[in-house]
Amino acid sequence: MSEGLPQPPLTDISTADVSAGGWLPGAVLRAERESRGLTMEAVVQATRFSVRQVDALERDDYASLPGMTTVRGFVRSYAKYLQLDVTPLLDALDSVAPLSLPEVRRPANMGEAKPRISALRRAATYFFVVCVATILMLTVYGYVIQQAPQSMPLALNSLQNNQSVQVLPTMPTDSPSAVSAGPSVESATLVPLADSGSAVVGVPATSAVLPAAVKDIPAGMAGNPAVVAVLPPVPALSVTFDGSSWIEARDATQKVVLSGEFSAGVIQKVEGKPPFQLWVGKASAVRVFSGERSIDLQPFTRAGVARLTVE
Amino acid sequence: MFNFLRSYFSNDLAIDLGTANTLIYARGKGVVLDEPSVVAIRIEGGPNAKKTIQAVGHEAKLMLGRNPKELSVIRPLKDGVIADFTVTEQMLKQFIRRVHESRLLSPSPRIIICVPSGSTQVERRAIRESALGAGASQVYLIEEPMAAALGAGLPVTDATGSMVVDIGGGTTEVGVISLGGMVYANSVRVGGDKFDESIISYINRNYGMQIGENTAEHIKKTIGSAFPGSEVKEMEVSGINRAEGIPRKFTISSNEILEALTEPLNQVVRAVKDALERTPPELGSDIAERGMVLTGGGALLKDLDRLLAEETGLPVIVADDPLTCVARGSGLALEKMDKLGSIFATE
Repeated sequence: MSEGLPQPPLTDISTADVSAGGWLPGAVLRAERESRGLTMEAVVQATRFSVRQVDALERDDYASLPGMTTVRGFVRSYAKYLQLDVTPLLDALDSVAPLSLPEVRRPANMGEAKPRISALRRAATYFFVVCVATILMLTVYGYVIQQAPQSMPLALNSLQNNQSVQVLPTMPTDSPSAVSAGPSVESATLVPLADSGSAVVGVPATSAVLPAAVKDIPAGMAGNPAVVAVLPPVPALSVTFDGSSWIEARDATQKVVLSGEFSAGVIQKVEGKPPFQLWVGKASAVRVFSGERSIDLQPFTRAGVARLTVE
Repeated sequence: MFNFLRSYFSNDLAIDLGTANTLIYARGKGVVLDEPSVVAIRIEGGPNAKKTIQAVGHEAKLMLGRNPKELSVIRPLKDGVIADFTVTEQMLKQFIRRVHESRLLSPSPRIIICVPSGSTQVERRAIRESALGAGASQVYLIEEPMAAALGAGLPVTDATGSMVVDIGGGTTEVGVISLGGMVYANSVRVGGDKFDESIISYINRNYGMQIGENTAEHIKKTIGSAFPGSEVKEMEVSGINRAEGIPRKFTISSNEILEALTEPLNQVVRAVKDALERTPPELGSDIAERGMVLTGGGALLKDLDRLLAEETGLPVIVADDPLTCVARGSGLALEKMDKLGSIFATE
């Protein structure tokens, strides 16, 4: 720690007019140094910058000095040596040559580098994944819908909303209008089921009459499962398969009296205590007979599966 | 893909987690917080015994040395690294809450945090974990000399040597940087705190008086000097006379403080000389041309630049606003983070 540096006189020189007068910092510093009778070597001794650099600064030749950060520090050191207020000098320097922040390219100490993935490529990857996921979901959904008619579990799930078919006295086969008029109509009147929301539909013995009967379903119940009424005495139910389909039938005790998948040409009898609950997997390929009478499954079919109760 | 959305909602932060002060730089806003790294913890007894944070930052620092028994005032960082993990995490959480608005659509901030170049893997892990615990979504580490050089405006990516000496509260970091990397980095555990300790020790030894940390820091800032000058300043100080056990006032001069600071200053000079010795000749000539840059709170010690210039024979310049250099440098890296995403890593 040496103490042999020449010290300038302790005069407080105002540099407030540096900017106003358009002076550059180097010129101010040189003028101040010369006014105090100090040599350039004294400045070199104090600041440790070379004579060439001190001269360049005094000429305000910043291009020959190593960067503006160094120039600012140099001006600060020089002004401190001359005991000048450095703020106006730095302000003047800013107006002439502002300090630009360095470009940050690769601060290598921030950790290991990951492979660079461009934003576009990343976006394309996201888009591809989303598309594949959507196609996959649509495929699964389509497959499920297609398989639903032959799917036993799906039918059983729908059982909660099942429809009951009450067999009511038989109506004249050739008078569909009797469904809604005439003395026998009373017994075939549509009777709403209080708890299930389903309807009892008077169904004539023939399937041709059925559409007329279905028309009598109140509007509010139109979407609900319907109940077919068929006259007793109930002969044994028989099921004829025109194509491959599964079927399940339960009697009044909920005992499964018929269950399984049968191929075309098979005729199965349903025996037990009526009423029978029927689930037919592929209704279009199955004909159900109550004795000699055919029961049209079409009104009770939804998504290919017919659900009905035959009393 | 969603980075551009994140930039609208999140407020990424750069943190200079220093032993003495913590500074936070928010993206697009600049330095938004500058608080002492001090936490006051109230310890409650009784059936519901618990510890609660009473204050952090300036408020807590005012309590330092004036606290009752049930109030513990802690500086959770020592020598640039975490000494008390839990308290550091809580302090960071409080600071982040002050500058990062918590909104429904506001994701957790990504944080760049500075670590001393000489810190061990365990110490870095602790800093990372504490930032994650304080609410960061991702944490990136940057070494302090690099951040300081960026903040000082040095051309770190050029093929030219730049030397930076960052004198913080707990450590002094010396780094030689070229082509975006650290050619040499060293960290010595000497800084503002050691300066204060030396002043306390000197006064205790020579005056038989006890003074507190805040008083020592005040003395350092007021009349502290690293190089003998023509002007001798004096200052009146209060302390406890050890012999009498009574508070007394006494006067101390800048020359005495210079004497007190000799030992820690010599360690700083030694670290700088070591760095220069180990610097490749090509970079050494660049440094001789450009000089070394002082940053950190220690650079504000009067005539420290002159001391280093005399000892090394090289130009020494003090950076603009040296206290915030590291924070601003980290902030510069933060601003460029999205463009430079590939160079960051979480581990």
